[in-house]
Amino acid sequence: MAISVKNITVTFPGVVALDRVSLDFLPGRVHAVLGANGSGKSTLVKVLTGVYQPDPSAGAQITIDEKTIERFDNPTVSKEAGVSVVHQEAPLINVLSVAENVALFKGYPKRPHGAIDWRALYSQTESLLRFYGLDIDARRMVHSLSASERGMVAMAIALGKDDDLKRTKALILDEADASIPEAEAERFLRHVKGIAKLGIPVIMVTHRLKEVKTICDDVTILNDGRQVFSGPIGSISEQEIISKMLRQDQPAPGDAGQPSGESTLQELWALCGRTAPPAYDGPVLRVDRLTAANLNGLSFQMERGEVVGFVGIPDSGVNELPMVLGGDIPRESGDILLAGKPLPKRMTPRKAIQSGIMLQPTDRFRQGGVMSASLRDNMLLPNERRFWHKRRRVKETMEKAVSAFDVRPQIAAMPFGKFSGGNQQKAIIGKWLQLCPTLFVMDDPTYGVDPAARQKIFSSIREASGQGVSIIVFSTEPEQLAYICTRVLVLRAGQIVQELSQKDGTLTRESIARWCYA
Amino acid sequence: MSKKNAGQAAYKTHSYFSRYGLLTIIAVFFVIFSLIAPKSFLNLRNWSALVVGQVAVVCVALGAICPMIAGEFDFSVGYMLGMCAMVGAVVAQTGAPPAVVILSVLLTGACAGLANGCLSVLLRLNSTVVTLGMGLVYYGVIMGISGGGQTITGNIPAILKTIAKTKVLNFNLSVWIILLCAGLLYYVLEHTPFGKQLYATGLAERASYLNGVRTKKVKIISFVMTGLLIALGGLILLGQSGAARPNTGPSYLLPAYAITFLSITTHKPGQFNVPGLLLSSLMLAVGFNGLSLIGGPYWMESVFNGLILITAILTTKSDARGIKIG
Repeated sequence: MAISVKNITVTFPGVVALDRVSLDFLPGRVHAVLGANGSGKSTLVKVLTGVYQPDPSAGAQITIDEKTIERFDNPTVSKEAGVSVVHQEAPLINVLSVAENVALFKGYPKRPHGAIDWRALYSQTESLLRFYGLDIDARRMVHSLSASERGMVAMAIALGKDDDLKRTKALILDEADASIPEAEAERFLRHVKGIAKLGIPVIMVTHRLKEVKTICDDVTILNDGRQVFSGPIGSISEQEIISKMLRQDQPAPGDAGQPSGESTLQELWALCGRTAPPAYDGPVLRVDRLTAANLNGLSFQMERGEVVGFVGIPDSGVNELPMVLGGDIPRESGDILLAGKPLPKRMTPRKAIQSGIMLQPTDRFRQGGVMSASLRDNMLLPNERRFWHKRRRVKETMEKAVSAFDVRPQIAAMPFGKFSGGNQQKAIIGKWLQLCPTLFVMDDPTYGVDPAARQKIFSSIREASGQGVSIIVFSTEPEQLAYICTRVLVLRAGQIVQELSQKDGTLTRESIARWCYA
Repeated sequence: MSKKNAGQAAYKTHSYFSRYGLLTIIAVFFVIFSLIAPKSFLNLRNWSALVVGQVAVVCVALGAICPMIAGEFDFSVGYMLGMCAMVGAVVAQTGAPPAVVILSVLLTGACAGLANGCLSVLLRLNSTVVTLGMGLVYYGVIMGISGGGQTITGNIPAILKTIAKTKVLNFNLSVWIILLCAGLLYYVLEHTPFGKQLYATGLAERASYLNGVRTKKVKIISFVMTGLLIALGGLILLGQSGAARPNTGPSYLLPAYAITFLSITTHKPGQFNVPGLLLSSLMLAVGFNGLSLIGGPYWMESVFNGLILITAILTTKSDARGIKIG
């Protein structure tokens, strides 16, 4: 009962997502697949689950249960062959009970006249849960489960027991541990290990290096679609894993593209009725004992024009801090001072924007832009009042902004959703930079962005900081922070636990990666 | 029209049909009915009657469109229209001067809109449910103040009747007033910061909020706009019929929403808009008028309107069809 793949190549227009990857997943062993974002991990999962089909010309082979095929034609074929998968957000329905969630997968047991046999459903569910050692009431509503319980229930449902279990040839955990807080992780991982002991190969796609070290038997590292390492966990050190995960296509420090002329930003600021951030002695931003969702008494300071990065694992507060600074999540206590002025206790994004803090949120689709409105309407939305009855000013501003931030195609009337991810991101960043923020908070600016746009975004950051804009960057590709930041602060459990800075030489790609994966 | 301010290379967002489809249909109707019934169809009196019949519906639809753009739904427009007219008639019966009557009607509309807006936005309730409930409340008010559902006549301000009857350039004054209101609303919606924010709120509320749009305020204002436009409709109704009947209002709900939804098929495809609304109403009126002139039965209007609505929505592109309500 093993699964192996050979010569898996997947290409998308312009990108090789996977390049001749060959792997063996052995029964009873937990096999970690590691890699930075965009390294091909999720493509590999999609090949194994039949969502994507590998390139036949490269001689792709999938061997499962001693049968060799070229590909899984679709997800159903893969499922029938015995590949079970649990995705990041376990696909359970919150408003139903655990038993009903089981029934959605396996069908409801029926009584003679077609009515649901609830008693049978509950007893079946309870025996399934007991089989996996889970002490959870079948009648409990799914929303009352903790994150790790959710994950374990999802696994139990995916695997089933008795006959279903016999049919399962492999279990894929696709970042299924990502939403599980550190404190609960151990229980979850022990559970995963237990499942492997049943003789099933477990393929674990994850970001958490620490957990890989404790429970995985084998490890594969993908980098830019290539398989850079495969072997037992004992044969590689943590240091080596991190260095193999780092992307190779990063620019050397200080080489993030030439700024596009000193005055472009200032011209845009003038058009939008702004002036460069005034010189200010002392810290432009002072955050003092800030507590809010997931943040426990956070304090830090920033100078004018400084670029500071933040890294941390998901529950460390990195997801909430940008929203708190941007005024979207209320803070419970603590002060935020911008250029010496304290921000009001009750913040809204509008107040934040007016006082000079602007936020580029991570979720472009729902939070960044209005997808069916035009590029023009998106880029001028926060400042529409200045452009009322000012057709010429609109035209001039749009022309300048679109070329300064390199948004393509340069068509102001095109709906925002029709632009590529990279161009959307450049436009969103441009939208805020043209308003001359005192502090610009960027939440994962390069997420889902092509390499060329990434370069442009880096150079925009440099240019704006050169003009006195202070910038905070959050990123899920932390290595890149080494190139654009002068300091990187590490968050853990809502507090800053480490400061890596260029000045004392502690700010390197490796040090950042170590702090955020390990 | 937002295309113009863009000032960039023209971008062809939509095909010929989605931009001019309604106009084409109107032209086709026009040609067909002109050929079949040239005398009765092609005369100014017919057109005047045809247009004036649409005034109240268009007024309600103009009101209904505001929350729709903001992503909310006002179910109470019909009852609100009835209530506004009834309040006017009741106040008029007491012998109050015309100004007081008109003000009381406008105030009723504004308050009803404010109530709808505050309940659905501030209490975060589903606006479809809130306005459904409020609609029933308004109906109760109609019944209450009309003394158990009687038609109230008498002392309707002369100025309202004059507006309904006087013709300027062949069309009743009320038609011109509505056109003026529509023009104003069009300007507000598509050429002011408020309008941009209203559209943005409806298209992506969360993104708009993070862009500094006061989405709650914008939504509440849109409900108040509904109230005011419907109050205007109530005044016109009072003038046209010289009385307030308890059951008139609700019958406007479906026709008004039919043209509201039809508006997404033209001008700004996929989004509710005023020019589309006016054209839709004209198309339905011309179609029904022609059909009745060539001998269609009276119940044809509803069937015709309904079928046209469904067909027209089918012809729009699938991504333009995803209209959110409630």
